[in-house]
Amino acid sequence: LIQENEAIQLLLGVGALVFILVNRRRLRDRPGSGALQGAVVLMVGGWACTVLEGYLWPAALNLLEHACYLGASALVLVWILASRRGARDR
Amino acid sequence: VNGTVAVLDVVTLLLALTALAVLVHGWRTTLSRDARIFLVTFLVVNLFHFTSNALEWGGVSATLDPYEDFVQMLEPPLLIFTVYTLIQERASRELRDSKERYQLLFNSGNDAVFVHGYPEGGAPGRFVEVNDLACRLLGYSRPELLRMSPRNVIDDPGRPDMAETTRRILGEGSAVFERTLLCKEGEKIPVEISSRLFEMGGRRLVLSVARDLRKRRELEEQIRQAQRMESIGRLAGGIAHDFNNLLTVIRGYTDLLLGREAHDPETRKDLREIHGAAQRAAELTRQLLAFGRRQLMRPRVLDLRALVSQTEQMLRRLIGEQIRLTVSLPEELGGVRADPVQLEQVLVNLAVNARDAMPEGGQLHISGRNLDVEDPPQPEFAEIPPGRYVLLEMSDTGVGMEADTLARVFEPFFTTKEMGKGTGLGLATVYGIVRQSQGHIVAHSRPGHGSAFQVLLPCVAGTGETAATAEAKPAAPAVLYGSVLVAEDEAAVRQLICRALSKTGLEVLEASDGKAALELCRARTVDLLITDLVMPGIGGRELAMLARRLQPGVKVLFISGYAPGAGTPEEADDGGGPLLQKPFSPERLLVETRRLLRT
Repeated sequence: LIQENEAIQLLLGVGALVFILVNRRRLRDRPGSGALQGAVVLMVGGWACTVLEGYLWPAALNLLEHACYLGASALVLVWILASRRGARDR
Repeated sequence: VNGTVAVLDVVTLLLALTALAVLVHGWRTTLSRDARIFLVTFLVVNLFHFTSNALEWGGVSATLDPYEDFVQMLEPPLLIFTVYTLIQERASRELRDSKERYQLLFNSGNDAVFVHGYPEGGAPGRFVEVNDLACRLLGYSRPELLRMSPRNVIDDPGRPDMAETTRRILGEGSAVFERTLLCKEGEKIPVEISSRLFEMGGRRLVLSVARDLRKRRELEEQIRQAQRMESIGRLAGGIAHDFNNLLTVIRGYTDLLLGREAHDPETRKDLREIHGAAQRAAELTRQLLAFGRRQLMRPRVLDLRALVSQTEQMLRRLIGEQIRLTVSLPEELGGVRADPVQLEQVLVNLAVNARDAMPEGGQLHISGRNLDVEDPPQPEFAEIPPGRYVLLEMSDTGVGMEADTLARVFEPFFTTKEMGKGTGLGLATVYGIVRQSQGHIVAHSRPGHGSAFQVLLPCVAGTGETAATAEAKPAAPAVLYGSVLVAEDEAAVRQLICRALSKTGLEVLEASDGKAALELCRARTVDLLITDLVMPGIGGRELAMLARRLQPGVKVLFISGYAPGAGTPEEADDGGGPLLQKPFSPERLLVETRRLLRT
């Protein structure tokens, strides 16, 4: 039911999320840092859905997983564009 | 669901592709190079993941699927690396900002800063840091200075107190001391050094802040010079006052002797010589009083253009035909409050000085303008309080002066002229008169380029007058009636006055101080009180006030060698009577006496 690579990925992802949350003050003054943090949350959410879909609501969680990836990609794009705008303003 | 998931993956793929395109396009972003590398890697891994999904959902190929699991596992670490890089970037930016701030502070002060090592048991090591001002002050480049140690830049490093200073720095941790620094070009600069011992990175270092003392020394010298002038002024004023008493007696008795018919021609000639010498001496004391700012002033609002115009003919005669005199004073020149006779004296003395500086002829130019001395003042008027002034300038094309001469030019008895050709009181008198008129005088000169004296007098509102209101010539005395009380502490002067007054038929009472005079006022009727302004105990002004209380109709005539502190006749008039300045002739005394008794 559970795939090892997905579990490792989730663990690493949670680690990444914790790292970002711990350092979120240091990222606060960066343009679009909210988008970056949101992207990481969605990414980790997607990885969590991958693991959970083996146990319950496979179809729904699979859909949610891919929706999370889409949301994360969109927020990464927003963050990169915000970084560009920040450089222009500076 | 699969179809929806496929659509989501394709859209995700396109978004990731766009993000990658934006990132690698080369547009400027706030991301560092390292962060961009990790982010690009993350997006490439993402693209691989979603391309694999899209190919699989579309039924095209499942070739990438076996690698997908491994590649996906790279995503979280890449995310961590990206964020870590961003945090590091912030830290390095803060470090850079901090360094810039430190550099700014280090280089923006008005002091030279040196940091050098001081190993345990060793001599001072090389400089490890110096600021821009240190380089500019000593004339070395930064690399040159960083190859040197304090011993290379301190003049006479072997001086005896050096060891004591070192002991204080090492023992107490800090020391403030004065040294002379040696510049690259050999110039020596006096500095005040404040040194502090500290440790950094396991090294023992000394931070030394050196303050250039040249400007301070210059100001101290100016203050010393001003104090010196003030003391000389006081001394000169005091001497002149005492001399005026003696001269009053000499002139007075000479006048009395000359008034007698019984002398033979030779005795009369000798008496005239004594009288002439006394008059010349009186002129000298007048100049001393002017320098000491103890001269009695009769200030009024003056039109400087009219005053200069009136004096012009006299100045032309004074400077001779070899020197061309030009005057340019604007019509809008403001009024000043000064004594016209004294200002004429200023013009004459400056003109004489200019004449003597141009033995071969030249040009003397008198100009003027209204001047606003700003706050802070313009550099050329640095020592003058801000305000509105009238500037009167007299410039010549003479031989000019060296800086040393210029610095002492207003000192009394300082002269560069040959023995017997000048008293050295001309410019000192000018200085005293200008300062007593609340004005300032600035001298500029260079050898071979002439001199310029700028007189700045506070500008006042009102219509100017000129010196035309000359004092009336004394008229011959007639027989007088009444009683006069003479209060004078100098016995010789008192006796002279009493003798001169007795001849006119007046009843003369005499008192050697204010107290004795008051007693006489209580006992007798007094028509006129003649009193010295400065006497021990009760002074002239107080005596006049008390005498008026006893006898309201009494007239008062003040006499004085000077009016200490504030020498205007108006102030003496506050005490209720005119003032006669010593030395005066018996004739002049009788004229004033008669005028007062008549009124």
